[in-house]
Amino acid sequence: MSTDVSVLRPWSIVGVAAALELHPFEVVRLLARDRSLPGDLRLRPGDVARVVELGGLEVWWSPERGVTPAPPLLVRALAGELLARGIIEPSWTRADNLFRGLGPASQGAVRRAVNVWIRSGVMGSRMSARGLELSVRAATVADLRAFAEGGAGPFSGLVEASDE
Amino acid sequence: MLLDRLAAWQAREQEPFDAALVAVEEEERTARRRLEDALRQAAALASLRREQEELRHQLEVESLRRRREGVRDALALDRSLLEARAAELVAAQATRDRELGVLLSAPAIAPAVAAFVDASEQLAVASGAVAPSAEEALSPSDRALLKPYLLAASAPPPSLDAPSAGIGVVISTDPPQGRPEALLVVLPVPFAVYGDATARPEDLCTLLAYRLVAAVHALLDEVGASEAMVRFAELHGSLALQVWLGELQVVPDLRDRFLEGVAGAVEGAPELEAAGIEVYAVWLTPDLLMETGA
Repeated sequence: MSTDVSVLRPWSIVGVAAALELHPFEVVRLLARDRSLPGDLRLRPGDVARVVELGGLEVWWSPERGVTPAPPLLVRALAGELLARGIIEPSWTRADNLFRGLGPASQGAVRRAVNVWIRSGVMGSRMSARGLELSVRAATVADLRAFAEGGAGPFSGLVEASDE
Repeated sequence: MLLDRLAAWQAREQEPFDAALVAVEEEERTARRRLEDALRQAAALASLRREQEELRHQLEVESLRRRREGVRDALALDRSLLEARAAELVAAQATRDRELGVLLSAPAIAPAVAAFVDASEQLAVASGAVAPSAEEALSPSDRALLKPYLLAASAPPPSLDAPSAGIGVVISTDPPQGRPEALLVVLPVPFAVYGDATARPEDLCTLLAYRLVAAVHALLDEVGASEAMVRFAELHGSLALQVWLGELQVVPDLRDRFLEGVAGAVEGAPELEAAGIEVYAVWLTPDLLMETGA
């Protein structure tokens, strides 16, 4: 009988990346820019915390934060998260923060909603060294809030209409 | 009578002119023939010149094609060498891990290993909090018992005792002279290291890519391009980093900084030393790496 020795090693970059829902090279980028990539390319808890901090990684959807609603209620919940977290210009967030913790179907629903909101001017998008970033346009906050809180306002049905 | 004399006089006087005219006409014809010959020769020479120019152009195209082919072959050769050593290293590591794994299964050690695994699993990777290491979570006795095994598990990879071999990282800038607008770094690893990152095992190719990608990002900071976007692409089967510098005010010696920095970043890497791999950096003009449309 033989024990799996890998359990005794610090975490691999690919393992940490999978847990954080990042590409491994993004983990490398964050730590390299911080000059804190360990020489043995193995990560300890402190390194992981550094990645989370440097990358501005957030987990918006997790069992600990309550039940994640299914689409289409998820789209309203997403609008609420954006506003509650103050992701309003000039504050931006990584696009992958919106998806972290969601299953494939829910990720698809969020992706469609974000695309519609960008096209219709509800959200702005920009590319930066850390990838795609998103922000709610200040002028649309009131309407987005009405949608998030009661499913009302001009943004009601916007995402559904784009599917037709 | 007078008319006869006049005609005779005219004929007499005209005779030399007629003879001269015949001679001149003959010379003119000769000159025209020579001129036509010369023109034909000039036309033939012009045609020959065009042929030579075309042949020379074809030679330049063929030369470029062969040099590009040479670069592609060199990239493929380096990649295959690295992949072969990676496979050997995986096998050597697996053998050593099996031996260590047997020791860890001993009844005296197994409970400490189980406690370590439990502690590891409890660390919330995505929590963002600075969690203690699994080792710190162990009891002092378990920690002392496990210490040598933890060190052994994290020891540098076993040496392959393979002959030392060099593989190249290709660096290129566009334009090749003056202030670069774009930077290209081609790594001697298969594109799958990036494209299938989550599915592939984290092997020697992956670790080299990590080190080189880290070096490129650190160097971008140093040359004044921290805001530059890095895109990963496939180039002749290899992983390439494309960096758009645009109007960024980068240092004038960017090329030398990258040539020194990229190769220097992997010096002393234990997995490369174990595999007998040395990494050097080489600069090439972009037309040798891709069709530039020039």
